[in-house]
Amino acid sequence: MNVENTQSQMRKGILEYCILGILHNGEAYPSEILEKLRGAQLLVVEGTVYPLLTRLKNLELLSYRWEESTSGPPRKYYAITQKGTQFFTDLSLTWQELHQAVTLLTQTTNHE
Amino acid sequence: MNKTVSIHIQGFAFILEEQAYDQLHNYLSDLARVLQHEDGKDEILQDIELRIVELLQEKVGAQQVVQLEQIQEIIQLLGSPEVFGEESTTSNQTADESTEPLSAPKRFFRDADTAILGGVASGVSAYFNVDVVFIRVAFVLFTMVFGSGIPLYILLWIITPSAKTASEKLQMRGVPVNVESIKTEFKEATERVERNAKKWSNQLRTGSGLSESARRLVQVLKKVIGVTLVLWGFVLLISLSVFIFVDPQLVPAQINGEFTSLGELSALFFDKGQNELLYLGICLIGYATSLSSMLTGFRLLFTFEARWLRAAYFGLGFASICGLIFLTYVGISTAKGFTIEGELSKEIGTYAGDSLRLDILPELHIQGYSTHRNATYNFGFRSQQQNDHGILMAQDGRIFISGIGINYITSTDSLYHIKIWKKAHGRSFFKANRKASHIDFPCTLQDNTIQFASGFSYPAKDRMRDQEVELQIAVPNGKTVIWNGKVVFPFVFVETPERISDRAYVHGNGDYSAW
Repeated sequence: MNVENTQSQMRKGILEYCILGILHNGEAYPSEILEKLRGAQLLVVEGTVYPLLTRLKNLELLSYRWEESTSGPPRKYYAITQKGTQFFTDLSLTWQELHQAVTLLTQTTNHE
Repeated sequence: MNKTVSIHIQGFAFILEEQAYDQLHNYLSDLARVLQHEDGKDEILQDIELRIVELLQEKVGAQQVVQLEQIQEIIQLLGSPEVFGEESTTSNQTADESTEPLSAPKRFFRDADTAILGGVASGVSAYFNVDVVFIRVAFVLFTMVFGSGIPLYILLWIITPSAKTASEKLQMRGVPVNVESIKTEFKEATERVERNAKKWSNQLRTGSGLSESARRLVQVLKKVIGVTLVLWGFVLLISLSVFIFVDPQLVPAQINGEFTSLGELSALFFDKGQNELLYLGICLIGYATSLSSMLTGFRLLFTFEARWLRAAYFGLGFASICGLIFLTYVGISTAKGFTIEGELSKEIGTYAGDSLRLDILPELHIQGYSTHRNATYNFGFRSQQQNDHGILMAQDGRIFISGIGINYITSTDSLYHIKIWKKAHGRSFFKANRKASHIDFPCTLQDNTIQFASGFSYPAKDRMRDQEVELQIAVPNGKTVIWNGKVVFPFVFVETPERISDRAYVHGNGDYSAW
């Protein structure tokens, strides 16, 4: 079992949730999202984010609008939809449960 | 110094180093391939391209040209195509399948790593999991049996992409072959061919963006031309060597009773020394041509550069020029040997009768070759068919020419005058006349009959210098010349009655024809 592989799998699994989380705090364009993910040390490579965004958008969890930029190409601002907010709330619940479960389990293991 | 390519991405113009362009181009087409089963593939690609624009603008700044390293950095940041593929598969498929991160369906690629030509056979072998030798043999068999192997190969070469990235190479080998995977692949191949065809026709129509396919086509053409050059050079090399060293006897001219070779024939035509020079010239040009065409062919096939290449081409070119100079010298020198015509005439007698008869010397006419060998005049016309000894014959140091010209003129008195003209060409009057004097032509006047041979001979060392023999007969007014019991002079043409023949020709086989 490769540690790095497991790490990247774990990161990837929660990437969707994190993106929804970022957008829950307000709309953003991909580079901003990437910046935030990188800041949180959650990002392996940028490439993984783009298919994810499109997929979330296709599932109508996200919407987007174009905005011209003075410094570069037009920006695609993503925002979370009603459905997306609902989805995010559900995920948050799951995440908290998971977090608790994992904390509990690993702590127990540590004590023994 | 590097070549640059100017491109635009999502409407933003950039100037890239050629290598950087290649890498970016490959990267984007790899992405497109990995994402091809994804919904919203175009959208994802657009997003990525926009990101690339951002990154490029960030990186390039005041600098003009995008370098290879910068593209590599961007690619590293974005992640390899495998990551995209992985992302799309893991989330779409069940947990079981996601343990196999590259479970994209097997695809047909050309395998450049183990290629001999274009990697088509290696690709096929990887695809069907069969040893490549069998595929190559199959291609050869197809070529031999139906002649279709070569066009099939070239077609596959052009329409299939070569496996460049690791993911493509894995995909090329992919999952084991089963009915399902063949079916899918077949369907996809059809779609791909359709798409390629559409793309090609679009590109041909608009004339834009030909780059990728055109480059592949150029690659194919390079290989095809390379193979042709190597084969041509090889064939030239072999045939030249056969011609020079084996010197096969294939010319329909006889020397010492056998068919002759070009080498023996040219020795009868070119002066000593010049014949050798001629051969040297042909060798130099021929070998230089075949070697340089083989060398060029190999270079097209295997694309190699070496310092000695220039020296080799220079040497081969120099050899060709030397050969050309030799040939020119021999040509001019031999042509000079034809500049002066020498003529010798000898009257062999007069006749006072009313009709003169012409007759071919019986022992020289229609005689077996063997008896001829010891014949006085060395004439070897073994049968009535001139073709039997071809265009010329040489034997025991003498050249035999068949055919004698006859020229009738009007006699100034009441007698027949018979004269022999011997002609030859040479570099000077002296040489030309001497060559003419060497001509041996048996001809006698006995009673009312001229007996003569239907050919003549001269020493081979004189070389062929347009030697000719003409029998000139001055005929008194109202008198006749008879051949085979028929009047041949004055001869009136049936088709043009106003014309009277004053020339005739006796062929080697003894046929007489009026001109």
